Amino acid sequence: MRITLVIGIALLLLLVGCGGQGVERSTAYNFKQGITEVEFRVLPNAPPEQIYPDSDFKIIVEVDNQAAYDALDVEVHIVGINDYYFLVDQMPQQVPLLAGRSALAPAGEKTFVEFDGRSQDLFQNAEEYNTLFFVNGRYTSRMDFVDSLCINQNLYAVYDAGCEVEARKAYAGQGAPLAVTDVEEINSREGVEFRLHLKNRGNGKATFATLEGATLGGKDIDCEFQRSVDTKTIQFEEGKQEAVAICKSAARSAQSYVTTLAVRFVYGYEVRQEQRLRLVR
Amino acid sequence: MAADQARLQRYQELRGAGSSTTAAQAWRIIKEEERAAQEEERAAQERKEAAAAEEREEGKKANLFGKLFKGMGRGIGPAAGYLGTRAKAATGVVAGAGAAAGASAMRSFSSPAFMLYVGGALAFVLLQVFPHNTLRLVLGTVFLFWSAAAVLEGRGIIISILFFGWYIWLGIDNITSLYYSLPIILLVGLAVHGLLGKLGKSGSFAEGAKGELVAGLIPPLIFLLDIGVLELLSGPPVNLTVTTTLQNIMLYLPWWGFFGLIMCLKERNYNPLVTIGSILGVIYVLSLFLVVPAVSQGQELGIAGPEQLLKARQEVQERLSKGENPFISYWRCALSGGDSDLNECVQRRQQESKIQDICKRIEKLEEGTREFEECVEEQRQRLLDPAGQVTGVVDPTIRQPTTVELKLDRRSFPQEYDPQLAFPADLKIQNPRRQQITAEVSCSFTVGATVLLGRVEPAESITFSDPSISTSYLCFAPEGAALQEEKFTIEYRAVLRNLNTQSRLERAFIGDKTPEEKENLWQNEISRIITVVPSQAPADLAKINFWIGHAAEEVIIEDKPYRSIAVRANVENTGRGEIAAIHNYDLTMEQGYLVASNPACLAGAILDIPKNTKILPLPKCLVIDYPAELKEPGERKWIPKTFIASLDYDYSITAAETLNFAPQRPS
Repeated sequence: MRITLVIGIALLLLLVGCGGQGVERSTAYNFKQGITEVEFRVLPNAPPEQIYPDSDFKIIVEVDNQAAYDALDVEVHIVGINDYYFLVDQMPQQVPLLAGRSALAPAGEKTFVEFDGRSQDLFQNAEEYNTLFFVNGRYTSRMDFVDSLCINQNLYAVYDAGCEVEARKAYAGQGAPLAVTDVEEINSREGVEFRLHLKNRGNGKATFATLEGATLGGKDIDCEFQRSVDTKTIQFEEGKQEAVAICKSAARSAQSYVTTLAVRFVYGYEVRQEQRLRLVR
Repeated sequence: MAADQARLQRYQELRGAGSSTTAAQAWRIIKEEERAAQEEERAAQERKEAAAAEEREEGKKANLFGKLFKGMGRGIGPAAGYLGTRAKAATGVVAGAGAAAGASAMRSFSSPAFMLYVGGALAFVLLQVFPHNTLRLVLGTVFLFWSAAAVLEGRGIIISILFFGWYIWLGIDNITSLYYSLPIILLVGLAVHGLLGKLGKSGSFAEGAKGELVAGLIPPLIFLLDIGVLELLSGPPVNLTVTTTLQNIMLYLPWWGFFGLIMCLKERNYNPLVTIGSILGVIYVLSLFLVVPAVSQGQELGIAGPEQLLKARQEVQERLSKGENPFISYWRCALSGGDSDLNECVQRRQQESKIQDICKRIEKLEEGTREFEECVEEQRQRLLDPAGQVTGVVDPTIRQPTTVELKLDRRSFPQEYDPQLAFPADLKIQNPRRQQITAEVSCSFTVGATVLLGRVEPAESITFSDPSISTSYLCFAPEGAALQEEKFTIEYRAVLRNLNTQSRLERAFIGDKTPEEKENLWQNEISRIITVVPSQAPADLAKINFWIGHAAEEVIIEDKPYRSIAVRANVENTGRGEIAAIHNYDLTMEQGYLVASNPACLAGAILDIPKNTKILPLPKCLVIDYPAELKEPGERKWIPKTFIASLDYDYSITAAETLNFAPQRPS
């Protein structure tokens, strides 16, 4: 009896110990890194692989926010279904908010949206009708770029023992499909200029990006998109999914110093998933 | 013993009077001489063996046929050289050069590939003039073995023999069994060739087998293509779409000549005749493809035996209006230089020659008569009508079309005249959609210019909805018909009433979009979903070909005020009979769905249909209104829509046989 009690307590301690370690790991984990995004997946068997004439079926789409930021105004559309063969609810399904991955919700938030469908008859005595359709998802989200950078406006201070400026620095992503992949830093006596290269690294298509705000060492700095009519917003084109944002700050110190650059972007994003429907006799 | 005596004699020679050679030296010399003689003998033996091995190697490459042609080459070569020499001597350097070229050309006849090229081309011309099935089969067989034995140097001979035995001698009536027989033919062919190679010590088993495999399939494949496999694929159940290019290939490609040409080029046989012939051949083949770009639709293979293939070839040739050879059209247009657009000129010539052919061969009218001119004018109007040019394809998802077959039971016909004896026939109808069809059968006898109606039993029409029906009829000659006096023709006619065939067409409505948005939608979504542009219908007896939109090939329909939406349609007779009447054609989808500028364009009836009509254009119109949801798809960006065209019709089919019961007069 005593031995059982000891073993039980030991196991309990072990389990508690493991759990505690996991929580600690997720609080320490930086979700705002790499390329992650909102994923749209059609569940297996919804729709079924084969559909018979005059039968009801469902198309269920799992929307899973794996990005590090909340997704707003998530919409899911079903496109390309021919109503001669299938009658499917054509109204887009909407999800107002889908929380991103964070210390409190390390798996991200997911939800399921359903579309009701009914199959019609096949054409004449056709043996089957095999077609594709698209699940189109779209949402709005944000992305923060934050990094500590060395600033040195005194370019000829040979004996300055402070930090060393990196003229170009590369990044693997900030936990969103849209990512700042490179930052160029140009120091001069007048101040410092940062060129942030923004690229779509996700599986979908970025529709726009807006500069929400930027700070250097906690103080607001001015940022704008290059080659854009509205300097705060850029509209992406199908074949050109990148942009350059330029942030400038006046000189603040004659000595080199390390400070934090933080830039926030809001962007729109669209994802297209190809699926198959098969109507058989 | 003899060797010792020779040695002793030689010793005495060396040690003879006056010689300073010592005994030891003399024996050394004799030994050296003997060694040299032995080495020479060994070398001679080796040369002999090498020559024998070379002979064997040649024997491996050239079998009986190969040797025969090699022998012919040996014979022709010196003869040509002789001619060249004589000519050179007689006419000097220039003429000599010409003769040398001639000699070189003559020598090229020793090349089996060149002979196949010339032979294939000549056979093609011969078959164009005398399109006889037996002749085609005989020539095809000759070329099959020629290719396998001589051109491919016997590498594919076993498979060719096995194929021929299997296909012709055994009288296989269904080539789909090739799926099962092919592996056996291949295995036996590889094994036999490999063993022969091994036993003949002309290479390893694997070498022989590999040669057989690589080359063995080519001659049978060309044989099938030559006797009409493409033609058969163009009919039911495969229904390969007969595009202009496919039609050109079917009617005008000399397959064997083409194969010979390729082999000549492979052999790098560049003498003048080969070079000129090759250039002409390449131009000819290219011209078949140049006339109109090809759009063909591949279907599954399910075809029949040699008789059916040859018959299919003949049927397609009869069904298709046969125009001028595209090669001739192309070069006549190119050389005349009158037209700025060469392609347009070729197409015009082709079209005109097809019109002439319809009136001459199908309508059987005499050239130069008023009827012929009227026919030409009528056909021209029909062909030039934009609705007449709409094409459709066979719906590959419908594997069982509605078909009818009327077959005279020739073997059960009376052998001599007896008014009590009947002429039987079988009517077979496949009705997979279980339509309620009424069949009426009649028969007639044509004696000279007189047509006499026969009596059919059962006389009543039948109405059925069975998926498949087969029924027999008897036809009796009318009282007093003098069938025993001269040659007569018995003709059965079956009319099927209340047939229905529907066609479908898929289009994408995108509303009003910018060109970039339209292009993105097309690239990313629409082109992936709507993959067949023309209308599709089952391979029934007749169908409606149609398109709705801005142009025939345009899948996308935009809602722009400056872009009109047209409807073009025709009824195509795809069977082997006649469309007797069209009770209703309907493209309306549902009441008021499409509003047309001319209501007759969307629905109507045509009861009076000219004889031999293959394409019947339907009235044309513009769509002046259509549902609002298609004009503005909203969030969906685009809407796919399937349009249905329905055809209610009667169809007649005939079968005839000419007989002669008249007593043969003694000669």
